[in-house]
Amino acid sequence: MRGLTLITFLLAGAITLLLALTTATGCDRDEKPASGSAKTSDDAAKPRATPRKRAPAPAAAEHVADRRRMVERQMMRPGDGRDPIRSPAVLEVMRSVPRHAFVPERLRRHAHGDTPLPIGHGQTISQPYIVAWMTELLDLDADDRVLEIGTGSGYQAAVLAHLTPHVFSVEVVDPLAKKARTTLEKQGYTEVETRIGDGYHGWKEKGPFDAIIVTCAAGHLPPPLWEQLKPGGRIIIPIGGPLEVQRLVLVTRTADGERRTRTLGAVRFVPLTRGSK
Amino acid sequence: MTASPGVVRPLPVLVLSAAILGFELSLLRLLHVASWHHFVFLVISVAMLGFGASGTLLALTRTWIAPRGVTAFAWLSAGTAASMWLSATIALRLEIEARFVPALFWQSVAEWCLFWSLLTVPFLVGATAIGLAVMMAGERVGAVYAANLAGSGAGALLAPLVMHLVSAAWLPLPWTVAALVACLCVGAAPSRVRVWGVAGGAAVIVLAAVLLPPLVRLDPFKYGAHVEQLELQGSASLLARSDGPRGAIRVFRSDLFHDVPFLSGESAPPAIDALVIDGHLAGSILRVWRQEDAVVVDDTMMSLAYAFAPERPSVLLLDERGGIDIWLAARQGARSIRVVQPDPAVFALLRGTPSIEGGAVLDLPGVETVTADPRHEVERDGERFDLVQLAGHQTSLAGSGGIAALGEDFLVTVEGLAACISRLSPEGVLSVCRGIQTPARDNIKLLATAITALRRLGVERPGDHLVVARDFLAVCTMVFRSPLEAADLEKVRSVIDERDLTPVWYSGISPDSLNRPDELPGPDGAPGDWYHHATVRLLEDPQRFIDEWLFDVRPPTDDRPFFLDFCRVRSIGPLHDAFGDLWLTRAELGFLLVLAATALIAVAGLALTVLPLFLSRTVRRGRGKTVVAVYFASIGLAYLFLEMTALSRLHLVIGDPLHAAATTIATFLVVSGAGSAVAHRLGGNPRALQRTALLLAAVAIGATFLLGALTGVTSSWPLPARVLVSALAIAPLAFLAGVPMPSALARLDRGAPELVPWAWGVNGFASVLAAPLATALAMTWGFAVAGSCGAALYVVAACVFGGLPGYRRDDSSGSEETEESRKREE
Repeated sequence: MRGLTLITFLLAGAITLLLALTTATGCDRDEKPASGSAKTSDDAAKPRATPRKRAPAPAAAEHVADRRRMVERQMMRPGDGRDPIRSPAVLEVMRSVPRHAFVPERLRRHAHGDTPLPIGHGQTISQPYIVAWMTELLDLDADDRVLEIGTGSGYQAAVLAHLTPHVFSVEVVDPLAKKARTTLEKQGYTEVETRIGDGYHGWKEKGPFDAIIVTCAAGHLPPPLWEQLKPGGRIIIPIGGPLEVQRLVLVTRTADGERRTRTLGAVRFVPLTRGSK
Repeated sequence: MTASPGVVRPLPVLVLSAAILGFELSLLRLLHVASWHHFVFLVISVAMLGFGASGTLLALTRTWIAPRGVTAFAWLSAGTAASMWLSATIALRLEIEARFVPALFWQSVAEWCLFWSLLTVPFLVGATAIGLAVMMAGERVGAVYAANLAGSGAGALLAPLVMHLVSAAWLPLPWTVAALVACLCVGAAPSRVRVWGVAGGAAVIVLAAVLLPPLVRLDPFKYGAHVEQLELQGSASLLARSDGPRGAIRVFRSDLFHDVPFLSGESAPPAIDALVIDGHLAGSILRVWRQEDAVVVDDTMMSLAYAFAPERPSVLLLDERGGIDIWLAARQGARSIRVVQPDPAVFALLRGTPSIEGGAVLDLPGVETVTADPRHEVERDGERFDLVQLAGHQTSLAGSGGIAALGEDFLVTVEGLAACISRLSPEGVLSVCRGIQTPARDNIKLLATAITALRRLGVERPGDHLVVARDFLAVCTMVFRSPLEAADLEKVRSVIDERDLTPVWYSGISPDSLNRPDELPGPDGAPGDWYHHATVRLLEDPQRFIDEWLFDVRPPTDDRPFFLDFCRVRSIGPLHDAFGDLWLTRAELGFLLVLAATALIAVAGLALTVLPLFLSRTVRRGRGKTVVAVYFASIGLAYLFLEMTALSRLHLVIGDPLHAAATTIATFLVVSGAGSAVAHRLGGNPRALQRTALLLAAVAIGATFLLGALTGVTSSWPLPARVLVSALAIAPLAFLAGVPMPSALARLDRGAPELVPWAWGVNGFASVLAAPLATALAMTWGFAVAGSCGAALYVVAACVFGGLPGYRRDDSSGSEETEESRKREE
């Protein structure tokens, strides 16, 4: 196939040269699908949480239609082999949080697109579907304590704050942490506690946690996070290296303290700054 | 030697050529630091594009520039110097990044186009100067062309030396100075021009250096960029640094570093220093002095192989960097540990910096450090090892959008793994741990390569020699020298169970034990994950499985040594179905990038070289322009096809990409220069030249297929001997390859001088295309095919040489003349 493509490419180039035409070569998509699995996940958590009653964020009145469209197209009918987000609570939250307020000014017109966006310092705000999917996988109860590693723009923390008031978030990149703090406060997410620090060590003083969400890629599961997880708790963590296609792994701690893992699919995150491979 | 007015002497051409090539290699080094591997090879293409476009520029400005020849050369040399500094300084400050976010795709493309356009300028200006010198040389074209090639060769040789002395950000500076020296050397130019040229060029450079100090801005997604940010906020500090042609090595200290590869235990690692090479995390250095403090390494996946190796094993660690695997071997009671690292600067830095406590690991009892290419180390006859570990491949990138796809790796090839297995003792085990990828690719390719290597060694049932196990982080592939007996398999079962690992493969594996406790996706309705499925099918019917898999998992060979190239064109459809617009970030794009680059460069080359020339009146009127195009395109493509094939072969023979590049480029250019210098002795005799081209094709075929065989003979030789033998081996090829260009140019100059810029432009265009095309050919079919294509193109050139303007069939003595030249004489 590759040889065929190369030959096609060369022939097309030669014909282009000879005829002075602008012929373009294309990739053959008619081959039968290969054996590898490229699906994201068939795992969706039981919809348990309901959105808390809280005052809407000041910017929530803007881009309402964009968010509604984002939820309908990207989450309820995502296509592209992705499973829909099933949790009504998560869908409602995704409609409520003003994503554009967490995106750099120059990129706001892309804020509701199905794409991650750079927020500076080699970090990104994840695409909306991934935020919703990870939130759904956390399977939060209304009083759960949840720790986020990698505050980034603050968007994921804001989403979590609609489901539980006990949200704690750690960010190691100084300017990002300060910017996120400002944005969260400006949008009224004062219940989110943030700190600048090394996410690898979690936030022992605030633990143990019912759920931990790591929004940056790691080379291994940080043992301190495991220690700060309650029995029955869940960790969602992307495993892999920078620019690699990472795997979203669901780690659960059974009632008797055993670790069980499940790889859910391929994602791509920025690296956990402490140094993933 | 007195230069006639209007003719540039060879010396300034030589110096300027050295400056241009030195600058090109410096850019390669700079981009290795600043960006990702797959953009680096584009430097060669933009350099060639500059050369190609210069032909057009010369053709279009011929009537203006020719009377000002020597003066113009002086100014162009000064302009080259200034533009080298300016373009590098400005381009490397642009905020470009390798991650193409879909929403910003076209913005990113525009930024990258600006980046590459800036870097094309110095090559365009410099090549215009060289082309001008060639254009004005007349009958002395051979000498000027030889000076061009010899100067380029000198630049290739000097560049690595300069990299030893100058840090990355300042690398362009010596070459700007060299270009200014070329301006000074133009003896026939008025001294006023030379002085003003040098003063002007120097002023621009100094001003630019003051206003825009040299800076290498790392791609924000590189690990080095994160560390720079941590350094900026006071969370990390630089302990040691070393700059050299192999890499910019840095050791950083921070309490934020915790990385231990494939750690699955429940205790956190001790404090760690990070070894960063060219902006990538190359290894972690435990800040401990004693084995007792390195207990964390026992919880890594790499420790699994020790459970199956003999007691107190002898261990060979290939391409080890930070020392974690040495701590592991020591803690596991190894009686001897041979640590192989190709770059001497890495261990020199660890040993020579007192503040790096972890460097002590290199001096543990039983540890022997060897500076050698890992492939060469395993090719040597000698001691057998109980455990061979591919330590360097634990940190290699995979599944990274193809960012490392173009890198040649001769250790993980069928021949390389066969050599590793051959170095094992009868009870010995080869171990490789790599991270899990979804969808699976690199571990499966590794397995396919190991199975092929075992079969090549005569093993009929490779499955009996394999144990594969994993957790949720990594897959550990172990290849045993001898087949595992029932007792061994029982031990395998119990160790995997004790360690709470998930078995993937061993002979007689039970379906009940698959895919737990760590669950991964697998085929519907079948037990186990995709890794198990792949192993079973690779053992049963490898070719069918390889043909069907989503990624390219063909076992790499020494002829096609691209382990990290996983691109399979037909996977684009399924990936697009699965990931929508994000398929681009999920696919392995190395190969597609080469094709895309070829297409873009072809368009740019056409627009800047061939089309303007083709549309010019002189070329349109010129007779024989098609033959000229075919001839010069053929030799342009062929030269680079052969050079790149030789480069790959010598990488294997010499065992070091840097020395291989310097040897290949310098030998090709210098010896081709010699070939060019003597080309005139053939007297334009078409038959002699045709015979030369055919001989060249034959030598090219021989070199393509025989060069690699030198490895077995020379792997134990010292580096200078390997370099010398390699240079001698390719010298005949390079010498003959220097003949076709000046011979035809001289002939054209006599028979149809108006077509010289056309020939120059077409040759430049072909050279622009040749670099990515040769890479694409090699990635698809191997370098043997790329080299054979080069040879075939020389045959084409030999066939059409007779059709070049000025050729007369009844005259083969070399004294034939064109009607035009006779008229001119009359």
